[in-house]
Amino acid sequence: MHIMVVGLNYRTAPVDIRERFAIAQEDLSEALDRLKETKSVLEGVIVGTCNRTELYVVVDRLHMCAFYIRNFMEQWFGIPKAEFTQHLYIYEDERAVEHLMKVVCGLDSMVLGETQILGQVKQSFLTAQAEKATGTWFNMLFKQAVTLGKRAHSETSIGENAVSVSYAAIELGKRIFGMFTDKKVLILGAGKMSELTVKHLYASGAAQVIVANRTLEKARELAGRFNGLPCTLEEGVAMLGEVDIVISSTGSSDYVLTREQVKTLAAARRSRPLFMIDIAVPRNIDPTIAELPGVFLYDIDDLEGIVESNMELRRAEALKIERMIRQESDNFYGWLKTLGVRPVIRALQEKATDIHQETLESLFNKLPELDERQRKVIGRLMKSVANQMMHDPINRVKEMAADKNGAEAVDMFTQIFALESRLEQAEEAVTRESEKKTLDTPVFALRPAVL
Amino acid sequence: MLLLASLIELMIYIYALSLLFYFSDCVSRSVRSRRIGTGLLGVTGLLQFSVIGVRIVLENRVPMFSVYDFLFLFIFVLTLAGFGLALTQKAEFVVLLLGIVGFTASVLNEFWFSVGEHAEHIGYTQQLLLILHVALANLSLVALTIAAVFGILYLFLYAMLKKKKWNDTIRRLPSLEQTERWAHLAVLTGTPLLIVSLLVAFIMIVAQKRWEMLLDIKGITTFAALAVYGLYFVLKRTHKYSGFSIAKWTLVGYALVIVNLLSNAFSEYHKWNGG
Repeated sequence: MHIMVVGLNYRTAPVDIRERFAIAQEDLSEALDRLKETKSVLEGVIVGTCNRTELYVVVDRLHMCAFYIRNFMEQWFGIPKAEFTQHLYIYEDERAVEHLMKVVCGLDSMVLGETQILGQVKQSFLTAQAEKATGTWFNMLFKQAVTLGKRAHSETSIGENAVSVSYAAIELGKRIFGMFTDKKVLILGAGKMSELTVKHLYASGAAQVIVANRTLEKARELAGRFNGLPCTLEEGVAMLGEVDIVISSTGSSDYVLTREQVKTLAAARRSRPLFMIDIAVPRNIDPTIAELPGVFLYDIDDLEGIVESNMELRRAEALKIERMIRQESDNFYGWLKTLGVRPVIRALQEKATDIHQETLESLFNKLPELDERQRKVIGRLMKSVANQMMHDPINRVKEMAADKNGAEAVDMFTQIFALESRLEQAEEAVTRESEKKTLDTPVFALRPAVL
Repeated sequence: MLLLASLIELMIYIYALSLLFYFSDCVSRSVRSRRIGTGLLGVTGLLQFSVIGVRIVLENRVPMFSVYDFLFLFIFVLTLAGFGLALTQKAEFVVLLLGIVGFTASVLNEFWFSVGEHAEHIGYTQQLLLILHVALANLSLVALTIAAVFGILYLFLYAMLKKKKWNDTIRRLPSLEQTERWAHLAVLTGTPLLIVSLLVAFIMIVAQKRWEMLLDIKGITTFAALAVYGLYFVLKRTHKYSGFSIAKWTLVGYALVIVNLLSNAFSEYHKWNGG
């Protein structure tokens, strides 16, 4: 059996293609049913977000399977294969496992290290599990991937650094004030960028927002959104002594705030720090103000520098997570190898049970005078002996199966305990079951709506 | 005695190990290192407590009257404060700095000072006063050390934000406001303790009629430190000076406290070593 992922994301497909592959939450169950019924597919999970649509499947053979999945996509989404094939990526086995883990950890996301995808993949898996579209492999793999995602975010700082200018301003503010709960914010100019920054500040609990603009009408409009106080630019500058944060983005070609103005109002500030963000180009705040004690002035270049430095940090953390992914992928394949030994263990246990039963029958025939209690005691004792005899070999073969030459070790174990014929019988039963399922399933399962 | 020596040796090794783990976490963020560092700091505190406990049993008294004992007690309280901060606050750099102060003091204490004798010849009331004086001085030293650590962090963060330097260390430090608040709280705790400790010492001088001791270097440096902390409160109250200037005065005050601590050798005031 093999693991395969077929999908498209923001890197391989533009939004006009991606939006056509969106699966509504209410259709997901039916899509999973159809996917499960697709030829060769044994297990399936569909991950759909605004940035990606991915189909994770366990298949009985790799050959032709990508073709069946493409057919499924063509039928389900009602889009001819020729229109989307070039946007698809297909990963198999180890690459598919590593891809899933990268997705879960946010390494494949548009914003490196974002955490939303973790919840989305977890939800997709739970839906698939509820629809009984997953089995032994995916139940293990997805649980392991989600746990890894959580670990990646708790053990590294990949998601902690702001990667947008407005968030960088908030992060800076937090280094100065810690919290914004009792802070007053003054916005000079009702620009889009300052609106975004003040939106984050307001959401973080800023006590009051004062919007100062040349035209009072615009100031009123923006202030209304944050329950703030509108005023003219001159009035706003006069309030500098009361505020803690200043965000400036007016269209003025000259400085709106000069060093002298800030220095004059320093006494009214009573030694409180003043955090100033100048997002305007050309700049609105005289850069020499930064030299005044207790004033922290940052312009757009400074904020972008912080974003870049944060991105650098995220990339460094991503390398750590990639190491964790390799380790986790090895663990998964180690577990898969022990999965292969299960039929052997089952065969050994069945053989032991058969011997136990036969011996008991023979013994009871030879000693017919034994009463029911004596028979039960002897039965239990003999079973206990058999179990104790099997305990160590079973543990050892599990360990050996996970080693590099696991397959050879399992073969030898099979030969030593003469389990070949039992394994053959079990395999024949599985093949018969699989053939029955394939015969029952059409090559193309069409969606009723399409029909 | 072998047991005591072994306990102290083990404590120093574990203290060093704890600092190494904290240092590793501060250089390259690692939750595991921090957890191990915190655990080892707890073990260090436990070993220090064991040393004090063993000495109480062996000597049948609380060991606190020699320079060695005073410093050992100071290190113990500092370790406890660091451990408490590590458990309750996200302040790994503060814990590291407190650890460095505590560890340095531990090593110097072992090298420079011996256990010494204690002042058994003084009367019962005076001994009680002495216990009070030493205990208050000890707690005040711990509080002022914490204030100094926060002061250093404030100056560092202020300078980095002014220079617009941005890195992972900056992100992990407590904010300027928090640092200032903690430093102020520590000075607010440490200064009254120092004043009361000094008053108790003054009462003892009066009781012994040793007036010349008022002009001793120990007394002078203590008054100088108190004057600086007084100035700190005045500056803070005027609201005219930035946190940067205030933090600098915290460090000046602490420097005088350290000078005071080191001036024992030139002082007649304290006969720490059994006089």
